[in-house]
Order: sequence, then structure tokens, then C-alpha cells
Amino acid sequence: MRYPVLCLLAFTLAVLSCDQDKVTAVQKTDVTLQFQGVFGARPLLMYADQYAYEAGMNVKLQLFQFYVSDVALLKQNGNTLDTVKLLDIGLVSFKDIQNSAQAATGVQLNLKDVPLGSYNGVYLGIGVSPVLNATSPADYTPPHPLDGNYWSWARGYIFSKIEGNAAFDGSSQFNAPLTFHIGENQFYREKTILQPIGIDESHKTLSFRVDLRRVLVGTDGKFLDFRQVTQDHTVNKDIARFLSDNLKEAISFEPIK
Amino acid sequence: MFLRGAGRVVLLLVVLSLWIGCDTSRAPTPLSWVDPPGFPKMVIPTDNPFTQEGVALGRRLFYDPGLSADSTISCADCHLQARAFTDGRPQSVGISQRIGTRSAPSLANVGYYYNGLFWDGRSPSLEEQALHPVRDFKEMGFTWTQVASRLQQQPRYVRWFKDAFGIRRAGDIDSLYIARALAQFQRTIVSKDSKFDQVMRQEKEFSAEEKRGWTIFFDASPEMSVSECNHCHVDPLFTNLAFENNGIQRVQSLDDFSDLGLGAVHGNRYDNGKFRVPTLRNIALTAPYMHDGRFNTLEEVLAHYIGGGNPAENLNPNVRKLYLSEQDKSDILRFLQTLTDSVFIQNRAYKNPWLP
Repeated sequence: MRYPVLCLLAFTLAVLSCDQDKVTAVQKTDVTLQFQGVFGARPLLMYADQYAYEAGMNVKLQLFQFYVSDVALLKQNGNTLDTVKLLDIGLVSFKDIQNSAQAATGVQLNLKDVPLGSYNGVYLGIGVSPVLNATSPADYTPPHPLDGNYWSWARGYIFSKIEGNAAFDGSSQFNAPLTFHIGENQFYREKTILQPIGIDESHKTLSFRVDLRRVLVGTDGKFLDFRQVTQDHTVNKDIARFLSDNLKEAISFEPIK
Repeated sequence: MFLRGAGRVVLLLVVLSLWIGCDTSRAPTPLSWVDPPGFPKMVIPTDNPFTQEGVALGRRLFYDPGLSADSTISCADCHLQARAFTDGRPQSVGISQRIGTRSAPSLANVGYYYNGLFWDGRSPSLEEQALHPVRDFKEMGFTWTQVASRLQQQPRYVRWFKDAFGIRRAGDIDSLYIARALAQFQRTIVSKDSKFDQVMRQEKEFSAEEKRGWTIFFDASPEMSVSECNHCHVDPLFTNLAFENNGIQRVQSLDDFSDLGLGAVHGNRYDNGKFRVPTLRNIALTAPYMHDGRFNTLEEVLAHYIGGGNPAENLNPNVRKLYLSEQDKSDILRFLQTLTDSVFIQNRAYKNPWLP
């Protein structure tokens, strides 16, 4: 052999680089973010069901949707929590949830290549993050979560929408249309849920429960009184604050499936 | 045998080189597309990119009555440029004066409609949409085999299809190539130069009435009346591309709509009576209004919305009683006039290429 040292060096480098690959290889899997809507104790259905509300009123829904931003898994690293970003933006729309089978499936956002492992929690931005809220539908190729729901005159996205009808007298005559649309950066909310989450090949559905009744009704007895207001599009800031604060509380995390 | 071994190979090479030399078809010329400022990005299928030859061919086909059974009706008969590519009728009229089912929708900016075409959204793409009118008994009343055969017999069309799609022979002309050419042309039909656009580009200013109308239309001021228009008629397309029941039909139940619209496409009862939110671009030119052309004037349309629409289980809740003054109504109408695009309706690129 004419160059034994060089050959040995090359061999060593090859072995080391292979070893490096083994060390850094992280097993990944596809993960589903699942959002199941309820209204109190009952599955949330658009059109197909009606719900008893406060003060003797009934409501029926046609649309409930909201954005989630910067969804991430949290992993303890010493004294800090590292984030593993899952999703920049997603639209959670219950528009097509119209029967019990669809309600059981919920709204699903599918994510690819999530590292397997143990995590310490999950983070959600509720609404469109300020960074993305500075963009516009012209920045995206449809279909994309941000290709609509945009107030051009206000230069911002509509973070959440609640649309339906109320029967003031508790009957089935739903003749009071309801529309509430919330936007603006000041009503963006962040939610951190600290809870052990183990993602492996048999546990890869992150399931959230969203209670629309909790969005409309506070814990202190306050509720959105449809006899007083049936429409607001972030003009009345108190209503926007009430609904966006409540939406944050209305989202809970279920055991991983 | 006259030739053996190397001789056969030489002959084969000569024949091949002659054949290749005679093939004069060239690759079609790519056409780059630039979306107007503020517009969404147009979704252009990878298997049907814009080419100069494809768009030119599509335009010829669009204006060719030879696509109908009796050679009397072209696409352009129901989509007139002067009317922003509508026809001014409550229901379109096909061959032999056959009355259609619905009013012809505007084709302005139709290339941006990525989630279904027709009033009921039944067609997923412009390529697929183009297949319908030819074989519709009430429209062109023909078959695609016959259309293709008719075009195959015209040397100029054979040449144009070769230029646009690189076909080898006349027999290759078929419905898919025809639809692709029509789709390419229709994607170029873009309205972007109305006064509204010029104001948005800061080239012009609204009058005081137009500005007030704009503010009410977009519900952009808590100090002014609420019109709720902008929930569905979202700029810059002035449609959110959704399908809605806007309360124009009085029904006892969702099963009673005379035209089920989207509900007939998917079989979902809650979609009965829902139709595509139409664009308001060039709205002053596209009367009569709604899918069945029931309103002749914009004043009638406004009156409908002020009344809150006919109740129904799936009436869009944004359609609700409005409280607009006469001045409000007048100013909204002034604003709607700013959506008329005279550059668009006179654009030479959309005119009938068969006319001198």
C-alpha cells in the first residue's frame, strides 16, 4: 500500500461520519391536531342541532371558526422550555361539522415529520400571530388558510367568527341572526398547556376540546346577551375582549390518542 | 432484397432524418403571468401553463360558433365583453332559442376561482368547466366528438393546435386540448383597472359620495351605517368565492327550493339554495342580477338586502335587516359604479379575433 496513512485517515473519517448520522437521526412521524367542538356537554353541530342558551334563549349555529398560530410542542431543557414548531397557521373551522360522525372526527390539521419523544406541553396562538397578521391574502397561493377572512380596509385578518341564529323566546323560531367577527392584534391570545405528552407511533393525535358555550358565557355569570346585541365585528372592544379571552379558556387539551 | 446489413441502417437513418426535418412544430411560447397588485395568486395548472399560442387559440375557440350543433352559438354569445362577459338575460339562450336554467355569470377574473365554477360550483376547474356548455342541450347542444371532428377538418385549426400543444396530426385534436385552450384564454380575462383599482393604487381619488359609499360598503367606520356587504363581496375580487343562501327565494323548508344550487351538487340539504357569491366588479354592466336574474336594477338588489331576505334555516346570518338612509343607498350605488372597468370592456386582447 503506497499511502497507508491517507487510507487510514479516510477510513476513520468514513466511520466517524456514519456514526454522526446515527447520532443525529431523529425518528419522526405524522401527527394530527384534532379539534372537537362542543356546546356545553353536547357535540357542536352546525345547522343540525339547537342549544339552550342563557336567559331562556336557544341558539343554532352556522359557522364557528378560529385561527391557531405558531402551534408548538414544549420540551424541557434544563430550566427552559424549548419549542418544537408544529404549525405556523391553521384555520379551525367547524363549518362542515353537521352530524355526530363528523363531530367525533372533529376538525383535523395534519402535520408531517414531528419528532417522536416525550414533551412537557403544547403552545397555541389563538388568532393570527402579529407577524402573519401583517401579511395579506395576496401573499398566498390558494388554497391556504390565509387566502381569505381578511379585512382589507383594516389591513388585518378576522381571527374568529361565530355565526348563527337565536330564538329569544326559547322556541324553535330562530329569527335573530347572530354574527360576531373578532380581529386586531390586541385580541390575539396565547395559551400554554403544561402536561406530559408522549408522541410515538401509537400516540400521535393531539386532541383539543373547544366549548363554544364557554366562548359565549363567562365563569362569572356574564354572557353575551343576544337580546342586547346580535352583531359586532370588533367595533365594540369589550365584546371582542370578552370573546377572545373566553376562547382561550374554552380550549382544553385531551389525553393524547 | 435490395439492401442488406449496413444498407438498411443507412436507409433507416435517412428516413428518420427526413421525418424529423419535416416536423416543423416548435415548442409553444411560454407566457409569464403577473398578478395585479393586491390580487391573490392565480392557480395555474402545471399541465396547462400559459402560452402565447394557447391563449390565442382559446380566444379563437371562445368566439367560434362552430362549437355549437348548428354553428350559431359561441361562448361569447352568453359572455359579451361589453357586458363584462355576461349577456343581459335572466336565463341564457342557447341554440334554437332554447332557454337555459340560469343567468350567465361574469367571467371577469374567473381565473382566480379556485374552488369551483358555475353558480353551483359543480366544476372544479376552467378546463373541466369548458366541457359542459358544448354538450348541454340548452346551450350548444353538440357532442365533443363532433366538435373535434369539425375542427380536425380545418387546416388552420390543425396548425394552431400544433403550435399550441405540439400535436402531431389532426386526429389528435380532442375535447381536452380544446378545453385547455379555452381555459388559458379565460384566465387572461382580468378586470383590474376600475376607478376603485386606481384609487387603491393611489392614482385617483374617490368623490365625497363614493368615499362615503366605500366606507358603508366595507363597514369601515363605527360612525356610519352598517351594510354588511363586505362579508361576502371581499375585495379585490369582490367575492369571497363562497356559496351562500342570500334569501332571495321564499321557501317553507330547505327541500322547497326550485333550484337547489350547491345542494344538488353535493347532496347536502343544508346547501340547498346556496349559490356562488358573484363578483361585484363591473356590476353596473351585468344586470339582471342573481342566479335567476330576478332583479333588474341595483336599486332592487339593495332593497332586497335592506329587507333582510327571506328567512330560511341556512340564510346567511350576515343577510339581516339594514337601516340605510336614502343618502346611504345613493352613496353605495355611487361606490358600486367605481367598480366599472372601461379598460377591461374595451381591452383588444379579449375582442373577437374573427372580426376584421
